[in-house]
Amino acid sequence: MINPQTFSNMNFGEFFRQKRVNSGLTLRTFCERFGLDPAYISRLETGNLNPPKDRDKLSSLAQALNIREESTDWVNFFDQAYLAKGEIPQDILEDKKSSKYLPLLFRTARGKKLSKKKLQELIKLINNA
Amino acid sequence: MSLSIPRLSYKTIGQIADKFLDGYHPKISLPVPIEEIAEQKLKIKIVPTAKLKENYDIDGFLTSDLAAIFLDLDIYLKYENRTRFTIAHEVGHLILHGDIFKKLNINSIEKLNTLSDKLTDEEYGWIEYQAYSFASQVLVPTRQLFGEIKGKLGRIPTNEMPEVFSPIAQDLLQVFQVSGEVLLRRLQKEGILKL
Repeated sequence: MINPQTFSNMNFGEFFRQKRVNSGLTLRTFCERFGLDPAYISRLETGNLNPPKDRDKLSSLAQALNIREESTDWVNFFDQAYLAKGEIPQDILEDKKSSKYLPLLFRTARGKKLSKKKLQELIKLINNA
Repeated sequence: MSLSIPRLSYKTIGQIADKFLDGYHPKISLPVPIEEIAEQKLKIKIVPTAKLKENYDIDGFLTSDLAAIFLDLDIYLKYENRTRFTIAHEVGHLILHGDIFKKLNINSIEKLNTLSDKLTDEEYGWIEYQAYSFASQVLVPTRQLFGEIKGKLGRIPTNEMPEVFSPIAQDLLQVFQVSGEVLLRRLQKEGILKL
């Protein structure tokens, strides 16, 4: 059963990120410690990737987050992972994602602005990252 | 849409950087853990993403809601110091320009395009210069820089030739975890090194 206090307004990715940050680990140190791919974890956290279907993989992630087995957080972690898998229709999801991230100021080697065409491409890329 | 970018001097930005460190990293351990500060204290999401550099010549950027910093994945994995600088640079935008962009409320592609049109190259140059200055002074804080040099050379040189620093350059790079270019600029700006 999902604990409403823990998950009010919080999806799987947000919960994952909160647990990681609360454990005092940056994305880099967390991934280094547990041999995980930062891009993969980042996509999980931003909700751009669904949690793994495999229960063993989910268990490994929960353990990496220092979630004690059979604790309320453990149960909630799995509940939220299952909820995240395709309950929202794809079209609504796409709609919601279309303006989720907009780039503001870039750090480029040349210190130049992007063309509008490149900007459009970039927005598409980061919202599907 | 008017931006009214303030023209902040290097010294003023240094004072803002010191205040930032006082608030978010008062113990000033070195290297300054900027990724940790961004994530844990400022609650910014760090999002490494493939192909930003290859396709767009971008090391990283701050999102318009000021809530996330996207970073090129390849650079994130291979070049930690460069990534540290990019994070500090984007945090600089948040600290120095956050209020300006909050007011503009860039929440659509149309508004973003308008901003891009209105922002002159001069304004953009100022914004970038200020974020660069902030990043370098956060990662190489003045007091700690002077302390390290005095500890290693026994004095604070003035307008010295780069050769004077050769014996301690590697140590300083190790301590602050920045690129040689950033360190050289810091030494030059503090009037320690003559370039």
